[in-house]
Amino acid sequence: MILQIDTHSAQPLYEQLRDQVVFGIADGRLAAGEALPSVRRLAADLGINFHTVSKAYAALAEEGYIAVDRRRGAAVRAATGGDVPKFVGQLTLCAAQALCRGMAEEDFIELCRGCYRQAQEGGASCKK
Amino acid sequence: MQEMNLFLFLTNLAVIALCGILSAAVPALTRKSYLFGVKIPMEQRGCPEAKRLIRRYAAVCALCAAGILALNAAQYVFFPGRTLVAMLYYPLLLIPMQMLAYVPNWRAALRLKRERGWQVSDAAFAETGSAFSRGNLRALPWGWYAASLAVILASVVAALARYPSLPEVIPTHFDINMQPDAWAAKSIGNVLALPLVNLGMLLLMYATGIALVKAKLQIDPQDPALSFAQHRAYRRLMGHAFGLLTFSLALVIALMGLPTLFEGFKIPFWLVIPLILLPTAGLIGVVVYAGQGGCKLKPKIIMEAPGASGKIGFSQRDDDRYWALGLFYHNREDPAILVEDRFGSNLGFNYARLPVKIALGIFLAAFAAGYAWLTVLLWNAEVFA
Repeated sequence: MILQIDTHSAQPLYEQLRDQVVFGIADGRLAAGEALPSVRRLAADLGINFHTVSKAYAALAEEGYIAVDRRRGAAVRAATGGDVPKFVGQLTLCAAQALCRGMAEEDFIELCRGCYRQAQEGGASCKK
Repeated sequence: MQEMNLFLFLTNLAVIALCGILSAAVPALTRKSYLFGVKIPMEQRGCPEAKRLIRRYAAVCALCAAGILALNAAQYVFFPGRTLVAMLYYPLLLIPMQMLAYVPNWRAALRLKRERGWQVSDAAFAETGSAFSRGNLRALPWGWYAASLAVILASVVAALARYPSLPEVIPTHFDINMQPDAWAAKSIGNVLALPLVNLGMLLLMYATGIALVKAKLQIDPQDPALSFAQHRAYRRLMGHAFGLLTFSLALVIALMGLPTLFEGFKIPFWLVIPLILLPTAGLIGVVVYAGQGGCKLKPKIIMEAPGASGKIGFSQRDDDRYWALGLFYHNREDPAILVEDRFGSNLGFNYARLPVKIALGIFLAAFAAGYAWLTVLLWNAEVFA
């Protein structure tokens, strides 16, 4: 899978990296068990500080998307629940934002369905 | 001496002509996304203004090379004794000449970009598969290294086998007619010195290989998948070219040791010359054929699962600001030491890195001192009178 970051985006680099990996797992470009490059190697390939990559990997591991083994490095984890309360929190925030915008429940559900399919089929990694 | 001077002069002419042609051809060897070190949208490389700049640059380069050739010829006619000095001076003159031709075009390219409002992405890319990654040592030409090592081991074995039957004083250096002109006392150290040099050379080539595979990957944002595939193909080609060079060097150095071991052995020059020329031609061939980072190659792309061709969000800025004169890369955030040149098909350094700064300082000091010393030495030497 090709990871891409934009060094001038307002979104922090480690978040961009984390999101890319999540999108990759969702649409199947990254398979369960697939090894990810080492922190140093990925930092060198992208030309960014290795602490940034380390932070992204730590976030991914904490949320349950990857497993970090001290000897074998990072690898994609088979589908797991991960940190469910945090995920529920994020989704609730989205729902609250929909409410603030005056969006009807049906419309919000419809939007969620669209996003879900987009993430599943790929192409979701392209940001606005 | 006269034949020697003529030979040196002709070599010099060939070197200047070749370098002149290569420097005029540099824009053609550079990636399409750069115009004189300025990042531009790939499709704009073909626009009339860009073409005009490239033509102007080639013309100035050709003119400069012709001027240097004329200077060199004049030197040979009027001061044939100084031909050896000219070996160094005239080809080096090409460097400031090329800068002279380059800088106005760099400025013009920057202006063109500003006036047209060209925007390019500043995205960075990495492949999760390690085969593409930098620092993957599997990309090194291991076969060639093994063959070179075998040659060196063979020369050690030959030296040790011949050692008991060598005379007490052994010739260690030969003149152009293969007559010994330097001798040394017979010792294990003296017969193994050349294989050791050979081993040192192999280690140097190995270190160069590592630096090459660790160089920063320049990925074209317009088609990252193709770009990665091109890099892989390019590394394979370049690996073989460097491997051939490594092997040829090992063979040449091993051959040079044979006259010391076998009295009356003549180094077969018909073999040595192709051994030097072939890898040189190979390296130039790969550079011309493949372009910078393989940008002219058309490798098969291993397509990814969904989303691989997902379009990319473009940022409004780019990293021109890290490139002084479009030639010198200076980025503190980037851990890379080697980077692809934006102009030409070489590698350059990230001058923000401390090891590079130290090495550059040492190199410049050594070069200046050595050059000055050589100038004084050669211009005063009686042999050239």
